Amino acid sequence: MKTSSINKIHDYLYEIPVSFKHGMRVPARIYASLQLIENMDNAVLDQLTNVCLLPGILKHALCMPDGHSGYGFPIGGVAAIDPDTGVISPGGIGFDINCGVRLMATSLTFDEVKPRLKTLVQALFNQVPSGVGSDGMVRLKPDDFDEAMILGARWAIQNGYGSPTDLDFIEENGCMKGADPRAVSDRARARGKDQAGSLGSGNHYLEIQVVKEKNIFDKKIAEQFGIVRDGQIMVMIHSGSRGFGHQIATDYLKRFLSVMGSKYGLSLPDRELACAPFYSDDGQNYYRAMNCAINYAFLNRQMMMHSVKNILCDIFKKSPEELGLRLVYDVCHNTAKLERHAIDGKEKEILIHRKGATRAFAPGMEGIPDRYRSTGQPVLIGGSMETGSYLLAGIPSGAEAFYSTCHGSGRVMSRHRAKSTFNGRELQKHLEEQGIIILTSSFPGLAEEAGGAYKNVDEVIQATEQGGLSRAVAKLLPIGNIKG
Amino acid sequence: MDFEILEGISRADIAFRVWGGDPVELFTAGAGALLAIMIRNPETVLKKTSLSFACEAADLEMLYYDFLSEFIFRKDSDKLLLLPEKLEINRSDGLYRLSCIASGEAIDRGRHVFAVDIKAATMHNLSVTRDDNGFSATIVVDV
Repeated sequence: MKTSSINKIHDYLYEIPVSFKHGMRVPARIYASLQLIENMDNAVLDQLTNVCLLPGILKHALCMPDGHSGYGFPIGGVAAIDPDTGVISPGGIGFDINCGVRLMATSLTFDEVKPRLKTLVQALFNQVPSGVGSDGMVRLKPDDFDEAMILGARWAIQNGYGSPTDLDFIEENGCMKGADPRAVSDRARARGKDQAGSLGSGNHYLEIQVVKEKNIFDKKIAEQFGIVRDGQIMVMIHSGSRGFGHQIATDYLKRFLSVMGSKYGLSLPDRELACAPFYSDDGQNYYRAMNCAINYAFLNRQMMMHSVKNILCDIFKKSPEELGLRLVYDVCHNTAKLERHAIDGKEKEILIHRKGATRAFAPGMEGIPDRYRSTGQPVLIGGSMETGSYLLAGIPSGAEAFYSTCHGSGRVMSRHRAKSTFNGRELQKHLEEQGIIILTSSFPGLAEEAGGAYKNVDEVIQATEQGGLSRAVAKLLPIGNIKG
Repeated sequence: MDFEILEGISRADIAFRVWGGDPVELFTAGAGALLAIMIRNPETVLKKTSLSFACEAADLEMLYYDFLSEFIFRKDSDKLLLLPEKLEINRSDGLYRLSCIASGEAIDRGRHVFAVDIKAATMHNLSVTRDDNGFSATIVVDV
């Protein structure tokens, strides 16, 4: 990205003034080092400053350190909107509504898992549905589907997928209020009915990870999060609301485009920024449907984690308790939520759009489990399958960013270029030589997700910490991965 | 299948361009590209079943978007891989109207080799243009 229009606030925070583009209501801010910003594509600048045009936007439009261009909003985009005067925009949430990450701790160690790693990864690949055209774990009948949309992870637990205590460790307790199936189209239902409990494809994965002592950066918080020993095995799932969420986004994007000018007098320079006043019929209908998709993604990850638990118990011939299987946390990174934040010293309910950005509540805040009240909310950052992922915690200085932080490492290379640069089968072999077992239903898809196609996750996390967005707790290294 | 993958429009997803002498050729090429991007062996998709659908839009761009969205929808809802068999595009009363009979078969994971799943058409850099040589269309798809 060209940096000539950007003013430095400090080494990890830069601002684009309202004079940059006609109609900007607030400045834009990018949390990143200058080097990370230079490596962002130029469209980020245009898209981020377009977000500043949205009615009701407060303070600043933000871009997280892993930002890259998306549709409407950049990926890594955050916008706080006054719900009374402002809009809701599907482009500020993303097509994969509640794409997110979940992390489970085990008491297994690397030495215990290593001899059975191939068996474990193969069992995960065989039993956790992944890839295009695969059926999920359950076919949702219409009445069940309505209930699932309303209850989210609660529905999964009521149907035998996990334990009620899991709910304490899911953002929003795994169930967004305000989900209304009447706002969901038949087409979205048709796409979602067979996909509950499936990983999907693209950059989604299920990963076996190991924590090494040298990668624990805050021992006290790590212990509170359940990381207590060198070589501990963790399981991470990155997935979302599948075709269901995509169809809801598509449906409402089209609806908003058809009414935003004629009914609401709104005009924006990018069709993917289509929006409607939050408290209009259209805005509320999208919000209700979006909450259904958030809940679908919660139950999706809940079902897969339950399947992983069963596989681990089967392979290691122990109970979940004996294996120390405990959900650390489940975070969303594509949502719009009503939250209370201080704006110019006054607390107010605002609508926070986070697209490729994670909520990161600070210690003591409402909405995080009692167990983490003193540590801050766990934040899960999925890296590439080669370089590793991070566990972070929310901190008070995150207030400047509406308690938002990064979500991944962010792409630097297009999928097409990655496919012509890397070979999926060679990559699989290369990673096996490094001790990482990967199984995939698509080798071209594997090449697209090569570590070299992503930013250096360590640089992203450094910028995240230095920018005051959240604190690094531990780095998690991959040893086994299944991709759709 | 004749299409061009466009670099520099999207890092996380896929942009592609197709051409045609008229809108029917153009849209048919678009559906062919969609299938060829998703699976590595589109020639293995057999014509075992067919269905019809219709859409209408104020301009050719949105008609193209709706048309491709239908193939993405059927891939998930009915697990069908389809190509246009018969396609008609007309303009009347200020609207473009399309009717299509599409044929294909259910996804067979043993036979159809998937490279990527296309989950949505987008309006990001969406364009349908006409010049002396005919029509060209650019779209970014979410994967």
